Amino acid sequence: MTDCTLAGRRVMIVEDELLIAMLIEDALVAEACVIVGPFASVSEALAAAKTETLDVAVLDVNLRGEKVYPVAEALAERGVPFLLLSGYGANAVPPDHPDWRAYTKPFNPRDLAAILAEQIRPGRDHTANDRPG
Amino acid sequence: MAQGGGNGGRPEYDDMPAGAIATGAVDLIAPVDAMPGQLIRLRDARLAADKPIEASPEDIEAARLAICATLRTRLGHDFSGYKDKTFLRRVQRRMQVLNIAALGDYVARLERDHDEAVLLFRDLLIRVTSFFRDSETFAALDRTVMPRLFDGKFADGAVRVWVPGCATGEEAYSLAILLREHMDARHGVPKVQVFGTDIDEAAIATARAGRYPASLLDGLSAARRARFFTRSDAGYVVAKEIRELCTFSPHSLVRDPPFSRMELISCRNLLIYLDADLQASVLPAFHYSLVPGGVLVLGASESISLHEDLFEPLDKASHIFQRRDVRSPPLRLSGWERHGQRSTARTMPRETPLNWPHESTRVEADRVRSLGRDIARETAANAHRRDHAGDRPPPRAGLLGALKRFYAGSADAEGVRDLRETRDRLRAITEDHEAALEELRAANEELHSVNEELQSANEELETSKEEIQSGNEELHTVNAQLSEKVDELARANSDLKNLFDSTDVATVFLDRHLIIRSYTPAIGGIYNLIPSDQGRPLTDIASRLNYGGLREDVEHVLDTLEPLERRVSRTNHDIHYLLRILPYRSPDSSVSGTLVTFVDVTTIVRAEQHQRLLVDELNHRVKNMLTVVVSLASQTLNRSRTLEEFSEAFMGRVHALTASYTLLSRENWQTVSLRDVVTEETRAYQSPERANIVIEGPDVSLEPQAALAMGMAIHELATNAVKYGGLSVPEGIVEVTWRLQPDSGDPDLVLDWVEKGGPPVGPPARRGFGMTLVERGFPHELAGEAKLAFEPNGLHATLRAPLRVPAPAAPR
Repeated sequence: MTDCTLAGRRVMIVEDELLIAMLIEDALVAEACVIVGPFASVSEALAAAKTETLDVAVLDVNLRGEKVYPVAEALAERGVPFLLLSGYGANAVPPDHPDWRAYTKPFNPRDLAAILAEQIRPGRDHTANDRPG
Repeated sequence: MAQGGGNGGRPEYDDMPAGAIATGAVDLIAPVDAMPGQLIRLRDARLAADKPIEASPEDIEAARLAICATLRTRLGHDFSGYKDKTFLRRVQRRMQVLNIAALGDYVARLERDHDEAVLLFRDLLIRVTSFFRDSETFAALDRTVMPRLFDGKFADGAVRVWVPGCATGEEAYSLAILLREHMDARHGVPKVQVFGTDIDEAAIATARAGRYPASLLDGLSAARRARFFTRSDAGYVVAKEIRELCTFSPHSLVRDPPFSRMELISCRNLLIYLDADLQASVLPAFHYSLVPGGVLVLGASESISLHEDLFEPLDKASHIFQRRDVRSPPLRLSGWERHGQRSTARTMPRETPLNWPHESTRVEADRVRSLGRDIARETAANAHRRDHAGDRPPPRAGLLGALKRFYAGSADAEGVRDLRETRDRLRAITEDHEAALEELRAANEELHSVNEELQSANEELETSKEEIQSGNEELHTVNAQLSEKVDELARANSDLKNLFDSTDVATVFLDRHLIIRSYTPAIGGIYNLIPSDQGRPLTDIASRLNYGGLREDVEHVLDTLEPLERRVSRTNHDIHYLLRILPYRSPDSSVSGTLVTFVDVTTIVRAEQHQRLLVDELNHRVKNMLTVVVSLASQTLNRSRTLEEFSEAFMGRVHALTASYTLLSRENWQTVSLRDVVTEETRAYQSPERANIVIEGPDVSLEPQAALAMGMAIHELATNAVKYGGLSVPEGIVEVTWRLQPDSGDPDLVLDWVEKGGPPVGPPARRGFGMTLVERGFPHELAGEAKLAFEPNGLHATLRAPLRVPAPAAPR
């Protein structure tokens, strides 16, 4: 089941586990997304978050022992929607950002696509045009 | 009477009168011309027998003291404390009996005559006594005093009654009868003892015999008479049951120390014979004798007015008094002092009874008296002549005549006088001898009684000594027990102190108002307590705790008496305590405060936190792993043509993962050896016959992330080699070698996978999933690189990754 909302969107994947990154990739490629990444470390992801043109992001919370939150903050600052992904589930949402959304591992790749699509539906639409100056 | 002093001048030869005076028998000393008048006065005084003694108060006092001294010397009893009037009335009575007019004469007589001393002694001890004398008093005793004596007493108690001055015992027996009647009305009666004492041993003997003429029993009811007396030939005898209650003994209230532990003292009509001084010393003695609350019964005309501080009225009308519960004044043992004097008097007679050089003067005295009579007669005759003749004959003529006759008589009767003198002397010697014998006898008796006293005193001393010894032994035992207890206590205290000092359980003892009673040294981590803080409220002292509810919690515990537990931590959260508040129970199990303890549970809290982290981490890993497996399944499925193909590839990958995980978990998720990872992942393809897989390289430890990526890469390479490469033919081999390549900073691990002897290979038209994993895995997961060179001899893969020196294990 494809959702045209995602088609052509630039989606950043931040995930240190290659197999999981590939799983997400597969799901998003099936939706005709453009994949940015995947990035395995906070530093790489942060650089991309600040420079790349992005429509949405999937962020694994725990990257080789580092939390992905700086990346999330950078994205939030730019207005790029994102979805936290973690085995911790809802506990992965930091207390100071209760509005952030989290999704639990393991997940059904198709559900993941649907959830991502929700993040960028009209109303909170972000186009690829708003690149950083 | 002797010549001396006065207007008449001293006698020409004074030897003789002086000697007479020295005998002590001379009552008056007067000049010659005053003598007739004196003599007449003396004669008149003798006639006026019933008039009071005519003598100057000084003389009377001197005579009284002399009589007392004599009685003391002869009989050992001191009457100097008796009332003057009573005493002198008795003396005067004796004087009348003996027809002696002058006190001096009587004093002399007394000194000479032991029998007279005894008679006077008996006369002084007046006894007007009978059974139940003064029935009102006995009624009051029956009503008021007797119940007090018995109340609260049981068979092991004692009721002791003392009747000092009991005379012939009627009073003592009367009290015994009263006591007996009360004993009959009760059960479990205490031991009753009635002590009757008197200085008159003859009276004591009568009392002991308990035999009385019928006339004395008038005061007794018929019932009492029948019950407590048996009729004997001459009167009545006290019944045995009464007699056995009574003990009679000679005892002087004045001289001897008082009895003790008495419940009741009946001393009626004795004090009236004592002067105020002696009364004042007897009453304290009674006070000393009585137990607290003891009762004193006095006679109708006696009172405690001298010592209202010691006694208070119980029944004023009946003269019954109660001992005030005050400290007895120190006993004025005047009797004992006098006793001492008496002893001196006893051993050193005040006067030497035999006075030889002057004994003859008694004869002279007789003659002087005869001269006196002559002179008086002459003077009277002269007066008669003067009255009748009118002229005045020389007054001295008659007197001279008398003197002539006096001296002539002396000269003429020289022989007769010698004879008379000798006879008189003999008589005097005999008398003195008898007196001396009497004295010896008296002394002997006294010695006997003194001996008896000594013996009984000795026995008492022996008893006392035994009592003291047993008391001493008891004290020793008690003392030993006490010191043992003290030692035990000290040990327990020391144990407790050591326990306090050693325990990490910080403890504060509080009273009901949160006042610090004591604490253990471990409290120092929580409250900055110093010893002077004992006595201050704990709430006044700043604590290092995040805890403000101490007062409420303590009050809650005091209200409910239920222990309370609470987790508290220090303000900087470095140490955690389990706070317990318990009621402090006193030995009588009342709650007198609280016990506040702080158990350091930091390690437990840390362990709990750690455990929570571990659980979270495990949860995360498991879910991650499941996602990986999902991905593996998904990817493998996408690239499998058949189910068998999928199954083989998928199972192989899952097994490869499992092998790496097994290694990691064996090493507790620290590091694993690279050699082990390679060996494990290629194990399935190693030939038992030949070394088809060569593994060579230095010892390198891989952290979990690297180990997992390496394991997966080796698995994919080996699977590929078995399918298409060096291991697909029997003679092919794989060489797996690695080295550390020093780069800038941390070294890189470089691993070469070289296949030889396999079929010729070329680059595959399309990368399989396995090779994709190898090529992307190293850069992605380890920030390294993977190069695959499909050389003619076979595949040569080079895997490079920065070798991170693993950080010490810490939960992520």
